[in-house]
Amino acid sequence: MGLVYLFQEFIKLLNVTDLLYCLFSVQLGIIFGMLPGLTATVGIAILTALTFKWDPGNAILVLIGIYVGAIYGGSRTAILLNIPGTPASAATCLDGFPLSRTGKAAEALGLATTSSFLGSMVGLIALAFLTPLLADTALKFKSYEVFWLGVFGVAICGNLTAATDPLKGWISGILGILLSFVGMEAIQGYGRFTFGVSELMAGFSIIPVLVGTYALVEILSNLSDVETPSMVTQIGRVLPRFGDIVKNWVNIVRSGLIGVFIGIIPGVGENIGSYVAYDFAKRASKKPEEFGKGSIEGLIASETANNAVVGGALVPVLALAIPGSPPAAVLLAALFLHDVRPGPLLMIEQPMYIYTFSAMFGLATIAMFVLGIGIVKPLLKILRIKRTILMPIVFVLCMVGTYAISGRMFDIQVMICFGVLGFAMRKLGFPEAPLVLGIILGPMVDENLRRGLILSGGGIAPFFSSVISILLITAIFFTLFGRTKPVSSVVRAFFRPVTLLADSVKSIFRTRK
Amino acid sequence: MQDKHKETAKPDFIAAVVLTLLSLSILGISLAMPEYARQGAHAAPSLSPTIFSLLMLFCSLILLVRSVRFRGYGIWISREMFLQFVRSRLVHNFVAAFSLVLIYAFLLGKLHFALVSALYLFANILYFRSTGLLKNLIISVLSSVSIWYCFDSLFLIPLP
Repeated sequence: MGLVYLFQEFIKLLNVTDLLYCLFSVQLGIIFGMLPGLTATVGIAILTALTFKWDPGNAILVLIGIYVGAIYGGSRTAILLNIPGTPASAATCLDGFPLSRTGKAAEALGLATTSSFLGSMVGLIALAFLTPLLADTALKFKSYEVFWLGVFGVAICGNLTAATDPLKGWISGILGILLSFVGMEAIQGYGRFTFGVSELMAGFSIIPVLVGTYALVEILSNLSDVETPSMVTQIGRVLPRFGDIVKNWVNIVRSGLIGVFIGIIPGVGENIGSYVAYDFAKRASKKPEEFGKGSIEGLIASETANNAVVGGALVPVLALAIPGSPPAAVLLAALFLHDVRPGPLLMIEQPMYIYTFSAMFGLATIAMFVLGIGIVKPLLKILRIKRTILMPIVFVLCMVGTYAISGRMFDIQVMICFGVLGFAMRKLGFPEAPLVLGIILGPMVDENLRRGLILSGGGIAPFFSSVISILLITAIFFTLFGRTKPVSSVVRAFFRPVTLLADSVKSIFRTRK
Repeated sequence: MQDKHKETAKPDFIAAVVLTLLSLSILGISLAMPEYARQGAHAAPSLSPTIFSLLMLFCSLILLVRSVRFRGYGIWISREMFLQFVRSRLVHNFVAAFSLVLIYAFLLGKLHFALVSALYLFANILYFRSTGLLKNLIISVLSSVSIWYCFDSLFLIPLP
C-alpha cells in the first residue's frame, strides 16, 4: 500500500512548476556542494530564509533538492581538485582524486553520480518504508552507545587515512577531539582552553576548520608545489560502464545499507557514513591495496553511502523529530517553520506526509542523476584552468563560505590557523581527515561519556553491558588491532573451521561440475 | 614499513616532541580545571580532556620511541642545507602564497570586498605569471565582482 501512496504522491509532483523548482534547487545544491565551505547545511539554511514566504510544498521541495544536490555536489571538487566540497565527500577524495590524476576524471564523476543516485534510492526506500521500524532501532542508542560510536568513527578514520602508519591517523584524530574541547562545554558551562579569548567560548565552528584543513592546505600546496604535474584532462565516457556497476552490486547494497543505518543514528551524519562504508569495502575487496590509489570500489562505496545517509538521516527527522545529520537539523527547523510537525504524531496527524516527503526526495534524486550526468563534461573544464588562476578564485569563495556562517572575522582567522596546522600535518605525514572528524565528534564523545557516567552514578558497567556497546567495542578493537599479527592469527584460528567447511563445500561443487 | 619509518624518523622525532609537550600542557591545564565535587568527578569538565590528553601522550611517546630507534634525534642542519631550503622555489612560492592570504585576510572588512578580492586575485596571478596583465585584470575584476554580486545581492549572504 505504501508503494501506491508513494507513486500517487510522485505523480502529483510531475507538473512543470514542481519540476522546475526541483531542477533549480538540485542544481543550486550541486553548486553549493561543489564550493568548499558552502555545505549542504549552509545551503539549506540560506534557502530556508529565502523561501520562508513561499508555499510550504514548494519550499520543502527546494530544501530537499538543495540537500540532495549539495551532498552529491561535494564529490565534484573532491574528484577534480582533491578538495571535498562538503565533509561528506572527504572519503571520496581518497580514490576520486587519484582516478582524476590518472586521466579518469570523467569516469570517476560518472561513477560518483551513479553511486550517489543508487545510494539515494536505498535512502528513499528506507525513508518511505522503514521509517517506523528503523526509528525504533535508533531510539535504543543511549549515551553509552553514542560514546562508543564516536570513538569508533575517529578510530576507523585514523586507520583509513593513514593506512601505512595508523598511529599518525589516531594521533590526528585524538588531536581533533582535544581541539573540539575548546570553548564552553555543555554540561557544566565551563569554558575550557579559552585563555580569556571570548570568541573561543563558542569553540571552533566546523566550517572554518574544514575550509582551513582541506581547502587552504590544498590551495597552498597547489600554489607552492612547482613540481606537481598538471591536472590531467580526459573527456572520455561519462556514463559509467554497466559492468562496473553490476560488478559492484554487493558493494553498492552494503554501502547503501551502512549509509542508511549511520544516517538514522542521530547526529552522526554523511561523513562517518562514507568512511565506514569505505572501510567495509576495503576489507571486503580482493584488491585492498588499490584503495587510496584510485580504487573504483572505494569511490562507489563512499559516494553510495553518503547519499544513502541523506535518506537515513531524514527517517528520524520525520518519525522522531530528531535530526540524523547537521543538514537534517536545519531541514527539521525549516519543516517547523512551514507548519509541518514532524515526530511520532506525524503518522497520525498527516499520514500521507511521509509519502509526499519521500516523493519529493525521489524526484530530487532523479534530478540529481540527470543534472549530474548532463553536466559532467562542462565541469571538466575546471581542470583546464591554470591552478595559479583557479586556486586563488577558490580561496575567495572559501572566504565567502567561512564568513557566511556567522559573519565573524574570527572564523577567517581560525580558517587560516587550521590551514597552517593542516599544511604542517600534511608535510609531516599526518592525515587531516581524522583531525576534522575528531573536531566533529569530540563534543558528542565528551557529552555522552559524562552524561552516561552521571546517569550511572559514576559506574562504567553500563558502557560495556548492552549488545550494541559490545558490538561497537569489538569493532573498535578490530579497527585498532585487527591488522596486528597476534590478533589476525587468533581470528584466523577462530574462523579456521568455517574456512575449512567453506572450502570443502566449494570442492564438492567443483567435483560435481 | 620499517623503511618508511626510517625515512620519516627525523620529522617524526620533531613531531613527537611537539606532541608530547602539547599533551603534557593539555593534561596540566585539564588537571587545573574545577572539579564540581557535588556532582562527582565524572561530571567534571576535565574528565574528557584528561583521558584524551593521556591517550595522545601515549601515542606521542610511541612515535618518539620509534623515531629514536631509527636515530631520528640526529638532526643537524648544515649551512648548505639551510641555503638550499631558503633558495628553494617551493619555499618562495609558499611564502608568497601565504603572505597574500594573510594580507587579503587583513584587508577584508577594511576595504570593499570586491576591491580586496580583485587585488588579491590580481597579485596572485601576477606573482605566478599565469597570464598577461590585461587578461589578469579582466579575470580578477570579473571574478571578484561576480562573486560579490552573486552572494551579496542574489543569495543575501553577509560578506566581509
